[in-house]
Amino acid sequence: MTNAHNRPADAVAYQAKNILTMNPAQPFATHVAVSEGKILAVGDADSMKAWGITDFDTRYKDQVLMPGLIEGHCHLHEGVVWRYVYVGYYSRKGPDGTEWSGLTSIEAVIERLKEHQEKLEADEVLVGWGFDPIYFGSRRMSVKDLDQVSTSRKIVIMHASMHLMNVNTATLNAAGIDRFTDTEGVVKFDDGEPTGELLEFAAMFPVTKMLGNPFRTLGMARESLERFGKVAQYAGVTTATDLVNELPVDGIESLSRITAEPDFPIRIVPAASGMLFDKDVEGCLKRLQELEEFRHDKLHLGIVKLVVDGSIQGFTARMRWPGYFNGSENGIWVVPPSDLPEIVEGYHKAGLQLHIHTNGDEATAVALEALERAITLHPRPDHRHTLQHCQMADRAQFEKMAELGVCVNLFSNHLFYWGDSHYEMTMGPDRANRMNACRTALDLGVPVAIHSDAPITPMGPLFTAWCAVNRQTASGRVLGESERISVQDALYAITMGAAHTLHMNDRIGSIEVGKFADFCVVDQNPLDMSGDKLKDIKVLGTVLGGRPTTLDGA
Amino acid sequence: MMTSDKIPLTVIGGFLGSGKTTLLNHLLSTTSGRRIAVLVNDFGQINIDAQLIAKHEGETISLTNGCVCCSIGSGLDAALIEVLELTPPPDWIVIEASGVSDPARIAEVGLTDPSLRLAGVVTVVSAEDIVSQGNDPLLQETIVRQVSAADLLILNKVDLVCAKRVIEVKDYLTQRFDAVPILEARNAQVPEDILFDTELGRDRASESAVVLHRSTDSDHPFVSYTWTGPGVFSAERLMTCLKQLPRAVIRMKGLVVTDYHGPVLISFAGRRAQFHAIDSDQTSGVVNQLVCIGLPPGCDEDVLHHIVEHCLLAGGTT
Repeated sequence: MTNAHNRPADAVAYQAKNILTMNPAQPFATHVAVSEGKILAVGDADSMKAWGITDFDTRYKDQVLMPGLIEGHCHLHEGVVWRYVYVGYYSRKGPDGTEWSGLTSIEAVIERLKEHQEKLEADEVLVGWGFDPIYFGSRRMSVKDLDQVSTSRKIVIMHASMHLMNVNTATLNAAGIDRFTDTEGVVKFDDGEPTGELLEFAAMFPVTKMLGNPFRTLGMARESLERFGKVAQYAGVTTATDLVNELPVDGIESLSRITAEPDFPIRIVPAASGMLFDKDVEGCLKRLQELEEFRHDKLHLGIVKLVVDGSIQGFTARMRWPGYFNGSENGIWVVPPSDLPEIVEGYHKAGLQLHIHTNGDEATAVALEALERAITLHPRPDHRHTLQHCQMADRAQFEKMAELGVCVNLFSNHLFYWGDSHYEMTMGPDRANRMNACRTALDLGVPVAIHSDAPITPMGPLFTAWCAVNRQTASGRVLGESERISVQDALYAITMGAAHTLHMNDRIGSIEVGKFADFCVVDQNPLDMSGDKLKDIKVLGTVLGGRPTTLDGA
Repeated sequence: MMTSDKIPLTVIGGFLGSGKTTLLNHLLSTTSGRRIAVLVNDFGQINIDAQLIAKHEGETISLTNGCVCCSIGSGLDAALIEVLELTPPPDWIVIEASGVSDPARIAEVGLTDPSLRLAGVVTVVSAEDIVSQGNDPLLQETIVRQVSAADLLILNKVDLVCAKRVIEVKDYLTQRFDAVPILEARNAQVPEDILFDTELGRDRASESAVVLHRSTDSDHPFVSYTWTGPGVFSAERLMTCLKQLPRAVIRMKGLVVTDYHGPVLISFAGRRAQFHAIDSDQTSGVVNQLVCIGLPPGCDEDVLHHIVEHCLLAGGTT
């Protein structure tokens, strides 16, 4: 027998300082061989030699390889927001690798807007995004601030939640909003003049119209996809979801073409918008069939997203007793609770996998009831229906998920970004401590992923893992120490856990023979460090289907 | 006629099964010459006579009578932008709020967008189901928001319950939501002119003396009062007064001179006041005119008297 005969012509073997495979049968390795975009062999130098490979690509010899990270809940809008200038409180890495520093005062926001203005044409609207007044106490941004940047140019600042914006006087005038615009969505000073803060759809609509509705229309444009791919690359992500997509045929056709290009750096998993099709499950199935031809290794279609309620920080999540800690009235339904059983049954029966957004525990209860009914009526092994966010679930609800075989993708980043508000304002101490309860879920055997919901919070699975391990808020408070998980469990959640919830664990999530050769390259071994350092790990690059992708400046 | 060139917007709210779609079907197929743009949640539910359909392109169905029907499946922003870009613009935009949404939130767009004028919020409720829905712990906030938002409540399906039950349901609604104006309906059939809000219904008022008159219509139980007279109104006081109008007032409109705007069109719908600027060449010799439409007994001449008394600046009436 001659080993050389076995060596596939295109085989390349990478040597690394260490390889964390996330495959329990072989947790560590030093070499990995790839061929035809897939993993051919994993082990040490000898395992490579068995395939006749004796020459190694040593570019990663001082670095650590992990499976490519998986962002199980984010949106292609992440690629749209970077058209505009970032003005958020925390630093955030842009698609060109620039680290945009966090702006911790409104004055700093004004300064950045002034600088950015220099780059714009005279009549161009200045748009900022990622602003979050929650960190500035009672100080709100107003026209008085934004008019310092310009009194003639229109300025629009999108808040992190995307449900609010601040505009300057020039924009108010263009939109025809003044002291006599009598709506709740137009915030006023004590003297009755508008402050420039506009809340929700109706108040924002004139401005949305003026901007051309970019967040709705540009997600699948080439430049947005390229930016999205870059952001993912810097985060070490090789598979990312677009967790609600209306699946327009022309849009998916173009998405398919762009993602298929060899240099496009990630695999994308769009979820069909169940809200668009409402009770017309057949219509959604038909659309998915029409799109069949556009699927390929880098574009995965077939999952369906349903949204049951709103958000906790927006007081629109549906809460059970005792409701919101500050007494706000209960939230909203997005899909009517009375329709949910029929819709869930329709998709379940058709063999599709559902990703159901529930934030409040009442929404979780309603979703679980609908799932239990559908699963009881039409038993189906391995359905992997997944509750997304599911931030407020209690132990009994996780027990129910375990019984039903339902997975969960928890929003661990919330603990850091909004944990203090949840503790003090929205949920109160008891329920803030049980939020995003990874430990309970794992103890009960519920498959767990964790996510960023980018662009709502920055994409960065290693940071998300840090949140799940430390449960530390922005102010340093620890929420529910008993719900902390180990580094190993957190790393599993951002690789195999997420792969499981996407029903792709046979192809991605671990470094194992036969899977796609998708890797995340990091500067140090996360298992060799204490959990509080997890967020400091540097992502140096990724490998997609065996092709190292390049990062500027990393 | 005095106009602000703004497109009137009506929002139709109500829980699933209340009859919103039936009402829209009815409007689209029987409209008397108005080119209505209807924004619906789901084409599947709307049942337009095939002979009426001129063309169906993507999210929009155009009808032979000039109306269009546009799906808001891909978001209200996108659908509303689309109908606002129609040439010529529609005479009236009607948005069907989803069965779980708060129509007041949507209606606000009629107050904020410069090309729109909020004409009203109408909530349809089912005489069969509204009491149990209003008491369902999962639904009660949703129902309360929908009913509270309404200028006019259409109590639909009264033919499906006995007369005694209709009275009970109306009592329930009145007790829970104050004297909200209720119009009974079968098959969601209501006179189009009750839903549509014309701007001032006649040419510029010519009287300069103070006049108040009442008119009724055999088609529906509502009354309207018109006041005309000279003077200058305080814009601030007018806004405050309009916000405090009794529930029985469905809507109000007028052309007045204020200390802030000069001559301006005003309206009250969705429980909110609106001021719409008019071309300056239309403003010479303006005589104030206020029209108030509502349901007796809460809507009577005192409503207008109160406004005139409180909002006219001193020395205004002579």
